[in-house]
Amino acid sequence: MTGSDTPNGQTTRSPVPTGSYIVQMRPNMKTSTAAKKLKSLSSMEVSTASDLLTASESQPELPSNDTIVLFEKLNIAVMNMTSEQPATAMMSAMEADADIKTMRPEFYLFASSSAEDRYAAWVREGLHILADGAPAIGRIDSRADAIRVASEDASTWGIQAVHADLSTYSGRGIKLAVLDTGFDLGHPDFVGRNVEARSFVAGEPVQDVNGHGTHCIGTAAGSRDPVGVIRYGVAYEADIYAGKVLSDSGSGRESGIFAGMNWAITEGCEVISMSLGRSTAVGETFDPIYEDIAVSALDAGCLIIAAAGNESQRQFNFIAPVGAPANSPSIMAVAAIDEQSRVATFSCGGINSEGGEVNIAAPGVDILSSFPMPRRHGRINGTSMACPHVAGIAALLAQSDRNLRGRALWEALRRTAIDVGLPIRDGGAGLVQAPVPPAALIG
Amino acid sequence: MSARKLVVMVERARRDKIADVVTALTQEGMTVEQQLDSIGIITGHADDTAVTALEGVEGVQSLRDDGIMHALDSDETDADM
Repeated sequence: MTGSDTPNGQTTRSPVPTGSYIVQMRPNMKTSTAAKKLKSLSSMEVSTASDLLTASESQPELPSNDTIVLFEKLNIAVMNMTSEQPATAMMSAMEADADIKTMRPEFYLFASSSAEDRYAAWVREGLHILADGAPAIGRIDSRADAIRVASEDASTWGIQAVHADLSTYSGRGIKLAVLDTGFDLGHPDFVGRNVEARSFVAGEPVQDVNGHGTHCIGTAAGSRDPVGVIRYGVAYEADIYAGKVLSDSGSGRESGIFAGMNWAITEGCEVISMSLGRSTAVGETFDPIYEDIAVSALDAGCLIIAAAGNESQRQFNFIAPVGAPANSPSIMAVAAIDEQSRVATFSCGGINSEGGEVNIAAPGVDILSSFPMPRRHGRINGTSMACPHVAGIAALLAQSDRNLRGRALWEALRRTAIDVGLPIRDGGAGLVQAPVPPAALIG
Repeated sequence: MSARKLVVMVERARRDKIADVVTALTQEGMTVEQQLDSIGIITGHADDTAVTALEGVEGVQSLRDDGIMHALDSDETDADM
């Protein structure tokens, strides 16, 4: 195998070496010193990452022959070995050198390994090393106390895991906003529901073409008895506020997102669900604008809940930090778990401080919910799918006690979450739980 | 000169008079597109050259470029039910 080709048919589920090597240099080495050392040990050409980016501003130009790329800001290098060279002696020399801290094979992280993907993977490797200092491939943490989920005969595994199916609350009278790609206003599962909808994307109506928004709304507030499919919605009588802030392609300007948040707060929504964001770097702090908005929202009795992000590759021990805006201290960050209560491989972790923590966890793998017609329903993975589970439960709690608004609602969600064996970094307070009469849990 | 999409956060103490901040920003060269009263945000666009003056407008707490956010689904597991 070569260092730049992707093995045919290979999935991302098991580590496959690329033929290249990741080299972590001694801390605080000068770039020139590190480059000289690498060249002397390997007899290979050495380029820096900034050299490659300078060569092409739109896309990093990756070398195709035997060479080393030194990521000077990350203190790591990638030995891009495209030939079957007898490298054993050279490897041994490098591993023994005092300027080389660690060295290991590089692995494919993507099913489709384009040049851009490989560049991104290298950067992620570097961030992982900076975050954990442990660049070894290992087993994903498993949990000891799996949640009990019956078959999906009457409701999705997510609905069962959060006990929404046992709750006597429906979200009635609670205004729940979902700011996303819009909503299929003609979806048959939502006939008769109270729906307010507005688009904040120029030139695009609320009608959801993407599907992401309709799926999230379905999880947060879908019908209790949808025709022809099992129950997938939590707060089935909540008033739905569908704000289109992401375009049909799934992206949106923050000015539109701010407009959507302003609308939801002005309309008196008790809960805002935002399954959107951007990735952050290790050590990055929160954006003061989102924090300011979230504080204003809490003061107004509105809780903002956001997806933590999907940038982790936990099958390779890489954990990405919680993205923005979920990394704001006053926005509740939601991680995703699977049916066995394991943190989802993609779910971002609480690596950064000052709001970068995961606050709570919810189902986010293989989640069935509504999709725009004619498709009607579908399954997706993502912290996007975990976020509306929490938003729906927040609506149930808000209905159960009119004092549970804003910060009090946050505290109620935290207090009633259950420990499913996840470290705080991955699951925060634990798995979100619906308010359920004690008798319903017996037996 | 190039136009920049901007997000302005207004100081909390000035939010009851956010319209005055809008007026001042307009006078300094910003084309205001949204005045979001509940969250104290003003959005719009202006030339690069106006940004320093806009940052100095009384009541402006911070000013930055408009950004992009994305939907956070990982992938699909099932095409249809």
